[in-house]
Amino acid sequence: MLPDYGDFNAIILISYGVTFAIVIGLIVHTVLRKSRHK
Amino acid sequence: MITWLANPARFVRFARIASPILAACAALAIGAGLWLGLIASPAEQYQGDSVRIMYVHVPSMWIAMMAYTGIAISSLIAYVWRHPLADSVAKNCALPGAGFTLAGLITGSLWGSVTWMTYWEWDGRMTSTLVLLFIYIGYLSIWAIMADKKRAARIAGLLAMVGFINIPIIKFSVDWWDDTLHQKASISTPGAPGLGPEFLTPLFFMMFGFSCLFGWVVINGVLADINSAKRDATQRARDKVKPATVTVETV
Repeated sequence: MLPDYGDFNAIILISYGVTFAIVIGLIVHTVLRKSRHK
Repeated sequence: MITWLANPARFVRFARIASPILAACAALAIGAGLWLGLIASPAEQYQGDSVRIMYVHVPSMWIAMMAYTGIAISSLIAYVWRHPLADSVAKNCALPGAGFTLAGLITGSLWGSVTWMTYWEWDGRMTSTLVLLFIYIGYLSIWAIMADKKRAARIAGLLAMVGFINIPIIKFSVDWWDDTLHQKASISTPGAPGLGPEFLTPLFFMMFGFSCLFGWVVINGVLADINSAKRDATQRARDKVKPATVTVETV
């Protein structure tokens, strides 16, 4: 499990969450495009 | 190298080798960066654990500016040398660039909320980064709304080259305007009071991982464009050789 970051738990979670939501979105978009144009 | 890769057949051969290598490097580096950034690295003396936002904020902004530089250079190559893949490379840099600009703005705003006690300040760095996001949106919109893709490439390429003026503004805004909250460059400036290795290591892992991911997205996007163009060409050839159909009216 992740350590406790005290007062910063929420902003660290949101920052990593937003960034990796975008990263996963890019990966999914690329994989879908790739399979559509195979 | 650019001229060599401008040939679609050679690009496909290169992409088949580069794509899995980039994917593996991205997965390993981001995995290591996450472990180091969230668990192994210590809290910073003044900022505490909020320094961990840096491990996603700085790589996001690095990709945002690198992607835009890629778009501007590819557009210039497309304008000057008419390389067939340059427009496709430029177009495929835009979506990850816009995504990482948005991530950089959100994470920067959250980081600012605890270090500067404000989510937003209209200073040079933040405003020029917001302008970068708008340029990305404009660039992607041109590609999305124009049916004639050759014309879209010309107009979007022009916007990309003119908009490149914003990149040095983002980079040097912290030096040009003194009334900024954003700190000055502390990693790339020699002799600056920099970060210790315990902070630099996760940062570089994440930057390397995000760069590999960006490369993987662009390469596979261009591959998809090549395959789509091939399919269109085959379809057009088939339509040409198809014998004219005769309709027989039955009584």
